[in-house]
Amino acid sequence: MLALILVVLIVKAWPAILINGWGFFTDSVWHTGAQYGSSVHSHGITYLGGQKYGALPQIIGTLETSAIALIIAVPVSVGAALIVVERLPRRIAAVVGIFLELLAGIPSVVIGLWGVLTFGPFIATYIAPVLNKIPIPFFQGDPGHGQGLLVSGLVLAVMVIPIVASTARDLIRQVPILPREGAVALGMFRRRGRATGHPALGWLRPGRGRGARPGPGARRDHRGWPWSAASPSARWPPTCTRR
Amino acid sequence: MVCGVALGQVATNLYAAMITIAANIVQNLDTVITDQLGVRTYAELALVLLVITLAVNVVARVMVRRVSGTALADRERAVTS
Repeated sequence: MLALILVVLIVKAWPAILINGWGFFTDSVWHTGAQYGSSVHSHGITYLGGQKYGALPQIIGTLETSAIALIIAVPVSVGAALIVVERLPRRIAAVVGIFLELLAGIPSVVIGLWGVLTFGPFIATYIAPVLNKIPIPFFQGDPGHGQGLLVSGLVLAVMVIPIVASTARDLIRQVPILPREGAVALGMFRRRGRATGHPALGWLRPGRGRGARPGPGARRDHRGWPWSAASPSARWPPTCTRR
Repeated sequence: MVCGVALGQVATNLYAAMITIAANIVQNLDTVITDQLGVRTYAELALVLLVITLAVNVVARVMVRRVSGTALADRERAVTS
């Protein structure tokens, strides 16, 4: 199906690819041509003279909004997943899980409309004045009615948070109980969240061995360095003789 | 609508109106429906969006697979040892 869509799009777009050339990716001008000008025939299609299509601002805008959405959505989602798996009682976690999945099912048009009518004006009225105080030019400007880059990124973040959170929740559930118990034993107090976050995220991190830092009460080895049994790189089960 | 749909404009600050590929397609496709080059250019735009989406999804899938594989392998090792 995907291949079919790709082939149809390439076939359909081929004359435009030849006519627009690399300028499509490097130019900023988007001009649909002179309505009463003479027509031009080229590469099998007839089109108005003066047409020029440069999509650079659109490509940059797409990448910018996606980056803002990911920067905001990933920490929020992983935090939400950690809370759902580690902190909340099982019944409440199940209800929150259901709501997370329901949130993923809301049509994007509805979230977009909420963004235009409610969220954008809220950001422009309450959040933008605070952000404007940051002495970086990129954070300073007129928010208007709240239609712009920031709100686009935030609305996109709201759309992807349920998906990222449910993926992160499933991954965190795969972490065995042993590293968590070991973390508590080594001084990562559960109350402070270290015994939940550090081992779980450390276990899931591809670059292993950097998983967790022990708390103040952690056992230290003969060199006086705190070693981390909560780290996935540590031998399991932990032994006090390990160096 | 959320991004402000400012054609040809790159956002210079967080609040500036700008445009995305999806916003341009939604907003302006109906105005070029009889224009042969216009329609084909929007198809090219859709192709670019599809390629960006596929690239991001492939990267995300690889990351999840690496992380998931690590966790599962370690879990099995921890259980058997």
